[in-house]
Amino acid sequence: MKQYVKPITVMLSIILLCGGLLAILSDLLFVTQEERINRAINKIYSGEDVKLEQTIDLSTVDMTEFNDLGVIKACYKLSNDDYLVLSTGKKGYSNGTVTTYVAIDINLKVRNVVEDSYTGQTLMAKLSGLYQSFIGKSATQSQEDISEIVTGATKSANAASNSVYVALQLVSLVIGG
Amino acid sequence: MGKLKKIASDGLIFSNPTLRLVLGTCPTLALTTAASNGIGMGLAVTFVLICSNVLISLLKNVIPNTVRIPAFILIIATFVTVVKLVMDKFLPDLYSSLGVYLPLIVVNCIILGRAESFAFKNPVFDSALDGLFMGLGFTGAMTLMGAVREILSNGSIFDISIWNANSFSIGFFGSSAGAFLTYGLFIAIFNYVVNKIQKKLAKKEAK
Repeated sequence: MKQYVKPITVMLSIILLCGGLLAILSDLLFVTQEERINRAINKIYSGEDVKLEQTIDLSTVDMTEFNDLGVIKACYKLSNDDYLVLSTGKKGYSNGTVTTYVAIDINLKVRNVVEDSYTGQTLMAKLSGLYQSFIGKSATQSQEDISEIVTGATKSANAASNSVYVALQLVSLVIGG
Repeated sequence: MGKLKKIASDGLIFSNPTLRLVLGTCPTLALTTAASNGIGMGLAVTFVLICSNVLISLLKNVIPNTVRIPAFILIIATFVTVVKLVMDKFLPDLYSSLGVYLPLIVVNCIILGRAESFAFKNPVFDSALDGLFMGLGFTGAMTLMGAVREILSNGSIFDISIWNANSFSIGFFGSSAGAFLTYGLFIAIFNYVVNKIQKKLAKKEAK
């Protein structure tokens, strides 16, 4: 029994030491949602003075018909009248998802798309130029039209296009009242 | 001074983890599509190597032999998480481009190998130097490979365009197969040069 005391004590001490250090650092280095939104805005409108104006209340918008394709996490109105939508597209490779920030202008056209995160084996969504190919796509286009624009479309690209599609539909509903 | 020179030359040249020991091949193949990825990953590994080597060397008399590997993993995982938190906060673009390979540093053979073979047996200062030079050796190889692949496949280096990639580029070098070929060529050239140097040094010593 004595032989187990030292290893257990040492391991517990290391766990406490490392855990304590990480707890302090994760508190100090925590990236807030607001910071993430500002990063996305800076990427999309590099050089332009665009700011977050208001958070759109999504409780009155019915998006249930698009639940199979994606989920809206948040929607923001920007100072240049554009909308910024944080949406997650489903049906990626191996049921993976892709979450993106989609900037949509007042004419319901995609201004730019920035990847936020992905889950599952959706690394192919990082194909260079994938997100740029969504620029200019409109809310009047069908989901198939938006998916088809991606050259050499993969299942992962499918999740990304679903994310853009649901974002366009949301803004269309918000603007349409 | 002689010891410092030996640790430095081992880490950078004679026991270069990437090109001589062929360790850490997974991030080497996957992340050398661009020079900036190589330098980012290399510096992250260097930081983890130095910190884990120092802490393991400090605790070498306390950690029982029976639990040394789980203890090493715990310490390495802590420093990898620190790197992850810092990168997410201050270098979000690099953090997203390194993706899954950043947390995978925990199981990088270079770090666990140096902890087991060097830090657990040597004093703190030497272990820190070993971590520094092994890390720099890894960073150098990664950056050089990344630069060559980026130039050939994109016509740019560190995202700065050298020539119009539409007029001349070899896209193959940006692919997985291109990574294997580049890595193989690097290993061949590096080993050829290092073997020549070693022969020269041996001749000098014999005289």
